Amino acid sequence: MRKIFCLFIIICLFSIFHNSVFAVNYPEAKGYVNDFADIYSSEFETKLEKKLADFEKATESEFTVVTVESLEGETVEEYTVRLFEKWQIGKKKEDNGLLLLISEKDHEVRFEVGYGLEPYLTDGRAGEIIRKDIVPNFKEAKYEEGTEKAVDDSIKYISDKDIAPVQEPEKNDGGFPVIVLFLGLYFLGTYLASFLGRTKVIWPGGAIGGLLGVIIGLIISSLIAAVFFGLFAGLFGLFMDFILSRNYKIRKDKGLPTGFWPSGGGFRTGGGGSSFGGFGGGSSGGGGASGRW
Amino acid sequence: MSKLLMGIIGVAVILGAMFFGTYNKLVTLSTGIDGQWAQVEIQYQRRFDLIPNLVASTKGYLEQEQEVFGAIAEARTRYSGAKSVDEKVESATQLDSALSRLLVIVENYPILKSNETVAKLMDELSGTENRISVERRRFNELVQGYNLTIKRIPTNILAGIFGFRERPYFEAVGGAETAPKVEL
Repeated sequence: MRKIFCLFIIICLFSIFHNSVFAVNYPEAKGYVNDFADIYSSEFETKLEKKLADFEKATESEFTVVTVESLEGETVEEYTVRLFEKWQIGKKKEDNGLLLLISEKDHEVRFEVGYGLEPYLTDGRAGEIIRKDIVPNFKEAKYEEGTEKAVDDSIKYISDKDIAPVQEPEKNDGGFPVIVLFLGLYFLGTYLASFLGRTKVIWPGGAIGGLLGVIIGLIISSLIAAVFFGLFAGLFGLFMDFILSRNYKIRKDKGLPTGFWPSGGGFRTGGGGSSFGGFGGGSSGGGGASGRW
Repeated sequence: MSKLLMGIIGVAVILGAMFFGTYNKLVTLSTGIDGQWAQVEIQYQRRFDLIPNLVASTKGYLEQEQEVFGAIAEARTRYSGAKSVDEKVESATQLDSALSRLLVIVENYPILKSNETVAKLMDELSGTENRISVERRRFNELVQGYNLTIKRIPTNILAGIFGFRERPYFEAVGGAETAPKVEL
């Protein structure tokens, strides 16, 4: 039984993740400064990280500096846009992300600008920063000076909200009412939990879970997903009904309140408290500029 | 008897959910492709808007390269007169090759390379080329996902009933897939 269960989890995880495998292994974000090529001193990194975190607090724009050893055969344009897609830099609605990528061995550098920042940091301005701040300094291996100047100049353009006279491309918004879905599930869950807890038998939980799983699977994906969701949610429902029925009985025997709140029916989780909590779901469309040193 | 009724209702609910789910998914995918096509067109329009500036600031230096400006002007006229999507794509690819030639020419003129106005325009132009290839790739990825979905069992049955047909890819002509490199 345990073996079968493990197999299920493996298959489910595989079916979730097998679509997101890329040919190139793009790294994971560690913070606003991601010095994978190790070209900065740790003091400089700390200083820059603080500057970019403050910049995010002041303007909500997410600016990340990434150094890599090589582009692994990709063009710098391709690499940055894929990394941007993976990290989703910038806030979701505003798309105010900015990525400065430096590839040490390829001697290539690129600004990838989120849709929302394109009016302020135009391709021409990004190119100018690369030509004036980065290329001359990087040629003399003064990476920290070049990066600092480039970061300062970009921040200035964005903070000033200085709109350059250029066309702003529109973007299509794929927003999804997640909150509505969660509220719906929450109330449905509350109702079901209170109802199922009172029944002595445990099979209705499994049956309802299974049916809901099949429906959700069909709506969001395909028939195969429906089968998996159904089985998974069915088992979960069975388990939950078992716990709920048992707890209800125990609490009743002991004379404890069986209402929803006193019995702790709400499963709530607190948010994380670290300074860097990941990026906000922004997107870019290939805007920006590239250069070589 | 009530058990049988429950069973029938259960099956009906599952079939109904399957039906609506599949139909809605196909509509979502199809609309997504249309939205992405609009993104591609916005980038093409952006490129056309840049051209007058570029031509104005380089024409004076490039007296002996009038042929390439002629080709650009012609492609531009054809694009604004294009009615169908196919015509638009064709004139846009024509412009692709003319602009790539201009970029190569500009690189051979040191006076132009050192001119900051021209350099910025070149940034804008290569930025736009890159945007086009990004939006075009996303368009093709959406088309691929959609085409795969309507060919799979059991979606293919519903897709056939409601007339969801395979969508064509946006094929870039040779050399136009990657943005031209501008080294200034």
